[in-house]
Amino acid sequence: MHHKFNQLHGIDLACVRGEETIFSELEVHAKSAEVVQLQGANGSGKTSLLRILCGISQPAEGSVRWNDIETATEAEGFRREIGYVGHRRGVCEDLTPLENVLFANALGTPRPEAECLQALTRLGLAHVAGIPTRLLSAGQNQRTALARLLVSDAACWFLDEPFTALDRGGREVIEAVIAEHAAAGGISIVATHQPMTLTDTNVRTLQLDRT
Amino acid sequence: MSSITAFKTVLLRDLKRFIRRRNDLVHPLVFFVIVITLLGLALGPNEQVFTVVAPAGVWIAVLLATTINLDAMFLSDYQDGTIEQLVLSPVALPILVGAKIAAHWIATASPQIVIAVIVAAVLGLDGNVIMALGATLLLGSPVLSLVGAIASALTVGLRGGALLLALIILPLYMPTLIFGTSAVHNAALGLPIDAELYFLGGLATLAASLSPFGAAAALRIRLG
Repeated sequence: MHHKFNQLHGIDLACVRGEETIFSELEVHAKSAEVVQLQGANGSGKTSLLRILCGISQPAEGSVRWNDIETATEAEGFRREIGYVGHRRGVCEDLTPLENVLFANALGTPRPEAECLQALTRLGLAHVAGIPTRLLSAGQNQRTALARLLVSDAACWFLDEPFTALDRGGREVIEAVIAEHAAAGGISIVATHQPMTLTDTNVRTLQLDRT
Repeated sequence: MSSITAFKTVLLRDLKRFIRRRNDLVHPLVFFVIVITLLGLALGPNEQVFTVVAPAGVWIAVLLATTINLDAMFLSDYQDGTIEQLVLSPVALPILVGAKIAAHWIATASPQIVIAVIVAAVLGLDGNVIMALGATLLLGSPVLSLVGAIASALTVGLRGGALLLALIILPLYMPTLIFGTSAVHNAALGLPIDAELYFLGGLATLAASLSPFGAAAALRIRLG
């Protein structure tokens, strides 16, 4: 599928934890077919920024706009357009990878089971699709979480350290998936220290280190 | 997707999870039976005392069993990130939270009602006392789950959260306990219990209409 033109704007964002200001006056801009890589040392606020952008947390100051509409006021429409994979993967350990993907899918845009299986196959989970994820490895759990994105219509992906626990093969699949998403006009905001090799993709880097 | 489909999806998923993780189902029930047994041992074989105290004891056992199980309502979903995904889904969060509360009630509270009635029959309580006990539990236990959901959401993931949760929630259970036990008491004396049942029904309706919103707001605070 091809996504229509979208843009995400973080305007004058500030994040405060306790007494400490983690970042302030931060501008973030991303538009269709772009990948924005958030870089910075541990504690520089990569995760906090991602959570603010997708709407899990509220910024101390500033606002987030999706196609020039504030996401705080137009939350439901915005949530139809986003996918988020965080440190907590959103994978239930008592359910199988297939059930996890089907459930996530059912709350967004329901797709047939075959399509979910296809996504799992792409991520190398076809042979374990029916085993509860508690019996699977960390890398396989991470793949399950990422498989959710493949069967969603989300135009904007928020990925927090997506390469955690992945082996070389898994890493390459995810990089390919992100590049394809950009080619289809999607946006990806990726928090990771590691350099990404994305072919034919417009990657911008946002450095979050405090000055 | 419609709200009703979303409600059903979450409800079925949670029930499936409960079936896969039987500990969460069985432990509160065993706890419940043990509390009643201990009460029986403590009161001794004096039948007259027993028939008066037993219904109140069953109610207390239900309160305790519900309370120790409350932190399971959101904890594993909070830890594995499912709550974040629910918050980000386009469906209104109170509907999804309402489905989780309903699943929790079906899986943990409804078996307790059945066992409470069986226990009351085994103990040889009067027929109308057993009826009153069953009816008050049927109306009262949803109140316990619903009110408990707000406190469970507020304390989810906190260190020492389980004890804090009990401290917050047990005082809030007083009205339910008062109406529940007084209905059973009246039934034992052959008095009508309609008033208490109406009050419990009213409490249940109030809790059902407000608590999903409160619990959803509390979850957002915990994530924020």
